[in-house]
Amino acid sequence: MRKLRGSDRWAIAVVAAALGMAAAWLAALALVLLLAPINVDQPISVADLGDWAWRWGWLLAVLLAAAASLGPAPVAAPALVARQAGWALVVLLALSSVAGLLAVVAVRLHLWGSDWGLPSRSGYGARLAAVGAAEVLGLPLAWLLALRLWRRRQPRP
Amino acid sequence: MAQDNGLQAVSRGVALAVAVLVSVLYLRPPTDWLRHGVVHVAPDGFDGWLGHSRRLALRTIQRAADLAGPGETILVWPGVYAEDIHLRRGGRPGQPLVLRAALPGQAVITGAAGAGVPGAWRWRSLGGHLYATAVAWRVDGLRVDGVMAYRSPSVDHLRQICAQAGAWPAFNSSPSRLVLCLPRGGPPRAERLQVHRPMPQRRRSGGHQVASLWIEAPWVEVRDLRFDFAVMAAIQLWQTHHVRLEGNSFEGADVAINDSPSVVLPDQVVVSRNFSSCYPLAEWRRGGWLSWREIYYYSNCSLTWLHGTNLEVVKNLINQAGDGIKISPVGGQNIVRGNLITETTDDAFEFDGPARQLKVQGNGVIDPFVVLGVSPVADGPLVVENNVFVAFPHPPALGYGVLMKLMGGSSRDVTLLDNTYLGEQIGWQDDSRLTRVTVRGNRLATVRGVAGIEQGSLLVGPDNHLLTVTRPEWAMASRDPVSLPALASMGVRPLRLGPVGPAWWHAELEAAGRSLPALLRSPWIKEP
Repeated sequence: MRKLRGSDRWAIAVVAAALGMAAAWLAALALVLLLAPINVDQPISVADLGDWAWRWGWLLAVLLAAAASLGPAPVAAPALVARQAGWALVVLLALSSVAGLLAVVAVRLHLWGSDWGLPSRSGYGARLAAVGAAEVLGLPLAWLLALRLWRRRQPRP
Repeated sequence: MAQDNGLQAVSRGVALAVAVLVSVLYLRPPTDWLRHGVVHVAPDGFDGWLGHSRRLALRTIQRAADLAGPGETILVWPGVYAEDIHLRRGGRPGQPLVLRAALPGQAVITGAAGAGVPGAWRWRSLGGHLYATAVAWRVDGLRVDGVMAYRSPSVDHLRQICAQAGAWPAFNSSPSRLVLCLPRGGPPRAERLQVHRPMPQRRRSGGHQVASLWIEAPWVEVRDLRFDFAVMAAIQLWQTHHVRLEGNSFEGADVAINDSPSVVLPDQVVVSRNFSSCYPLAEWRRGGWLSWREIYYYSNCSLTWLHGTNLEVVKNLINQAGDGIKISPVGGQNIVRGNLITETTDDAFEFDGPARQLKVQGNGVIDPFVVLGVSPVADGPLVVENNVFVAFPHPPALGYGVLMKLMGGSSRDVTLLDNTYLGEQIGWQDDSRLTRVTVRGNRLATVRGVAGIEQGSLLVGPDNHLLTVTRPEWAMASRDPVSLPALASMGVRPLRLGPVGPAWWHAELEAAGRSLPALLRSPWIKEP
């Protein structure tokens, strides 16, 4: 096996950071597309999630870049980094969707939002819950997936 | 080897520190202590700064709104800001969040798309001053040389009105094609055109969905800003209370300040000394180019459409509107006082359902279509007192010059007290049931009196001063009450109106104020 050079570490760090940022923006875009049809009272736009996408993007980029390239172990394969970024996207969307669905049930059962004067209370509830879930889950999810990537590339004894 | 290990340890340490720092930034640390209570925004700013000085200002008002908190002021420096802003962090009691222009009237929040949009259009002539281009979305609002163009319902209609004498710029749009009528100065050039940003399908009544500024937090003040060419509403009150909107100018908004629909109806809203206009709405009518009906469906063009509690709408100036002030409070104590409304194509005041504990006092209305849309007032008490209402004579077929529109539902607990009115007739009744509607102590000079009101002579009792005038007398007196001595003998006197509209706003310097100086000099109003 050829000895790793510094430039290899730099290259994989850049790839990991780019994939992290891309995952964050894809998540924001997917959330907007998922929520747009049900949000008739206050249409959602990419700009509404832009601030969150930048913040989560930087966090994911820094954590994945560090986990993929630092330390004594060989750098992570780009495919492995891409898989972790993909996980970040899928898990976040799945959990946000569950939060949105639970919100719809809560609104329908009059447990939440019964004082809202809106034509589409369920849609608004789903939006609040999904965006709120993405915000809350963003931080632990980024750390979790970075730790996973770090552990995957530890040299076997 | 030992050196390599040391280097790796340092790298890991640095990476960990950066990771922790980015995590903290993700959680939005409080940085208000760096800003000394003011967040600066400027067109040459950058959103990566903290905005704590003019030199290190932010670029967007939205970024400032995301950073600022209770007691802070977002100071917007002169320039044009093409943003849809969501204020999600408000203030606290005694510590409002303030959004204001650094130089009053010189910070513009616009609904216009970038200049590149009309720049990409390729026009071809259709003959008869008409031009067509492919577009990427249905154009809802268009300006030519800074003036709103009329939105025609069909290409055939557009062709017809474009051929008429005195035509103004007009357009018709489908999702893929825009046809423009340029009666003068064609063919179209990109630098003459401004277009709205894309928006959902227009709905005339309710659910505007789009606004330049969404206020989604309590204890907020908005001052001295210009909301220009807004896409539907200029300000949407979404989930808020204790809001003060003062000294702002709204041009071309469908509803300048709207709360419909809202998550929760707003409480404690003050709308004070603003200017609102949909110029050239009245110009389209003035020369006989468009009929009243064609203009009626164009837009609400109202200063307010409010339904909350404890509402105060005072000292505003409204010119060339559809409905001037739409207000239907559901509770609390509410007041509409000292406003001047000129040239409306619908009601000067519209109440649409409840009008609980609402007083309309000391307002001036000049040249409205209808003064009071009290249909329905499902729930009062609504008291209208000490106002001066002067309708202007227009072609009779248009139905101009009515004091009370009584159609579309019951009206109850409405009192008209000590008002002055000059116009065509006192009421226009279709299907409205009147319960406890009282008209007393008013000075009413009309051509047709109570004609058209069921049991009108009972409704408008003998304790009012009634005067029948001829159409020529009405035309003369609408410009100058002194020209009709009978008015003076009724006790008609000019309305004492204090300053209205923003202190920084001057009618003679504004396109939207061209028709105002003559109206403001009206002898019906004293010291405007």
